[in-house]
Amino acid sequence: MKNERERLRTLSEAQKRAIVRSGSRLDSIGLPPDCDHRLPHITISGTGFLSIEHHCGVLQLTCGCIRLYTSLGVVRIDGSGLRASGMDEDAISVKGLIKSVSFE
Amino acid sequence: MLNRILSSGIPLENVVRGDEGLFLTLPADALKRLRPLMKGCSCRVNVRRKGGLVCLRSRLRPMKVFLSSLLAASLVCAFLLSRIWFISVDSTFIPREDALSRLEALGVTAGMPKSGVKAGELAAEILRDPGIVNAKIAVRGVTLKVELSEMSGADPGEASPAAEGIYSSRDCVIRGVSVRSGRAAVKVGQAVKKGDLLITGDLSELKEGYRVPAEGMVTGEVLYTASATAPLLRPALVRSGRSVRAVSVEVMGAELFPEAPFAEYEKELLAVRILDSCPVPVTISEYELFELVWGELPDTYEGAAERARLMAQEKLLSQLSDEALILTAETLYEECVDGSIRATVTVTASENVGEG
Repeated sequence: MKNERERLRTLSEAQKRAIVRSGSRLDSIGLPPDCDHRLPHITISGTGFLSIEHHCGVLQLTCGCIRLYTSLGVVRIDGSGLRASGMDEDAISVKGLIKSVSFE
Repeated sequence: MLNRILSSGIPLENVVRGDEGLFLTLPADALKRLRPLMKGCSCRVNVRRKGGLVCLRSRLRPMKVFLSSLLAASLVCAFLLSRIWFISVDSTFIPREDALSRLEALGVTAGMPKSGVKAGELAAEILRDPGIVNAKIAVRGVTLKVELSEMSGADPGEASPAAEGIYSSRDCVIRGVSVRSGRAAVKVGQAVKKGDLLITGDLSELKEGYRVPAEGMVTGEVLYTASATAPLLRPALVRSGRSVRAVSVEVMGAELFPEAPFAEYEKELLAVRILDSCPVPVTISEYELFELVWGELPDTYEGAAERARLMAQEKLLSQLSDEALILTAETLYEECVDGSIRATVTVTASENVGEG
């Protein structure tokens, strides 16, 4: 995991753009983009529930901020009373009051 | 530490950061895999609460005494329930001790296994006693219930013919058979004659000499027929030819009529006079009375047929029993040589033809 973290941190902008292009290619042949397991898949329901699939690890987990590694960088979730209701090596579900989701 | 747990394939639930640290829930069987992950990690792991079947099993494992006593109690209960411990005898004519000693002679005692009690064979053995007409053996829980019935009002040495079988009281076609004790000797739809056996108490095909009193009810379709003849002349009152004159006086609405000389008569008004000279109105009426006698008048074909049918029906209804249920009815008419009409009424009724 440490090597993976290091590898993702050192991904160049070109490499990240390549990952995004591969998702577009899937779309051009008629396949939905979430078929690509390298792209993070974020689902938000209202302001109380969020799930992220295809993450690469947890960087920070507090009641006000959760940061996760993904193939496109670090995803930051800000809010209050945040907790991970379900978590495994590939997907995480977050409950609480979600204020913002951003890519760092 | 969190990423280590996730990468080892252990799913987590309810992960929340508190003041004392990170609280999370993981499966009970993953607890064992947690120890090697903690090596080399700078954080401390405390197990706050354990729950689930796995933990219950591990908690019960040290309670060897409890488990072994539970097992022993189960075995004892299983042993006790597999045997008969009480014998209940229901009989008004045989004392309980006598009945128990008879059962003991047949090998039935308290403490014997339930599988050793064969109710049919035991009943057959008990019925060998001529004084006993019915024996019911049943196992209820850990109790063996024995009901014995004696022959009522008969010499125990004689066999009552009513107990052997139920016989048909008339010729019929069987509609229904209900057997409470014994075996049916007829089937639905079978034609039987008066005196034929309907239900038998002889069950020798089950066991040699095995007899029970025959009880049950059999219903059958019985055919009833009655006929009557009616002439084309119908009885009626006719004038005999004799007549007398009579006068009646009516005063203030009350009629004074003389006593008629005939039993049956017909009156014909001849004249009416009203007397005005009297202070109250008086009416004098003059009649001719014709004597009537019973004679015969010619009737129509339909009238004679109807009379014949009614007479035949009356005859037939007197033959039917009270509980008979009429299924079909048919009337046939024919003209006799002398001109009279004969009506034949045929009725099919359902009734009890044998009961015991």
